[in-house]
Amino acid sequence: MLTAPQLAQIMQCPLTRAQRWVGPLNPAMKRFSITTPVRAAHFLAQVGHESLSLSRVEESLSYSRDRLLEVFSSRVTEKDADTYVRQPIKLGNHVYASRNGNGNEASGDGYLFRGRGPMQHTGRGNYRRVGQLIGEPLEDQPALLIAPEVGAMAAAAYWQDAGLNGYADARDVLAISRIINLGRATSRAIPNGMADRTARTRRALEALGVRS
Amino acid sequence: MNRAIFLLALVLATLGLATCQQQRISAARAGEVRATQELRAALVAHSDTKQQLLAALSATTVVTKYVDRVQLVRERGATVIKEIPVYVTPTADAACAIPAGFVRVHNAAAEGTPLGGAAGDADAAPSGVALSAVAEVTAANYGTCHELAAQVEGLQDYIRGQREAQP
Repeated sequence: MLTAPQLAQIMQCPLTRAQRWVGPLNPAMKRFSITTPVRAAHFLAQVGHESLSLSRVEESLSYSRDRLLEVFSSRVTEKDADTYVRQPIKLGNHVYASRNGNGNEASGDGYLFRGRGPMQHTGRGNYRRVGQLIGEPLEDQPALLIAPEVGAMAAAAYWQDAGLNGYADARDVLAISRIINLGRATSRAIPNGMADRTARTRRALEALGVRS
Repeated sequence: MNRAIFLLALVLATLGLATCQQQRISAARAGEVRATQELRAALVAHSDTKQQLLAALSATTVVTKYVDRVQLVRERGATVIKEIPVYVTPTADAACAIPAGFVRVHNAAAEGTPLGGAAGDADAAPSGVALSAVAEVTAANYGTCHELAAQVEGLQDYIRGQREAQP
């Protein structure tokens, strides 16, 4: 059973925030077999990275030019970048169009199903899948994912569904990061925030008393 | 007269005995031919079984060798990755900003995909990717490469063994 001080140490966040999240996280982790210290450490490290230590549960998509090109370099060209600066709806609909079960740019799915919850789920297909796993109508009401109880359950459900408990048992941070960030373990690219994911995993393992 | 009848009976009896003996000899010869054929078939079956056994033994040896080799390669890779924080320290991370262009080139090469879009000013900007992360990903990719090479060599050994086992 994870305690609030442990969570605060893992996330490097204020204790009050950890107290708000530890309640929803414990049953979610139990339900989806994140039940060993090694699995919990890997799960919490990735959740910590995706949610900026549980401080961000909804993707803003309101970016400066530089940040926009850094995050979406493969989907936004330098020439078009100015069009999307501080334009979250336009940016979301453009960069997430026709991916993960979303319709085209005009469908509005990209922004509607933007990153939400501690695992930052994106895309209509992912909302549908995770909604089915936890019995919540996430495709019809995507904003439900913002609530910690629903978000924590969704994050843990996705974790198990994607086979991440197995990768955690093998302590394969890179494969886990690739599945979460790049969509597949067989990718050979560098996942976004790899160093932070690794550092968070190391810290979480230590906080949960796992010897390296 | 009686003597003639006796002689005739003797001749007939001799002929009868000879015919009977001839039949026995023929039956024995046929039996011998059959036994020879069965022996040949048994020898062929024995040879096949021996070949199969040798092939199975060779396959087992190859599989064991391959599993051991892959395990060794995997362990070596994991050891290198574990040591990265010692060799590529947070100080080194802070001192070396990896430009976005580097990440683009790395990812395109690693994924075997074309470089999307033209190069520009954004490629010179820091990518936010740490040097230690580059080391980790590169080490892991090389590890995968060695693992796949070991698997291919294992398969080649197996195929060679199968060919050699064939009569």
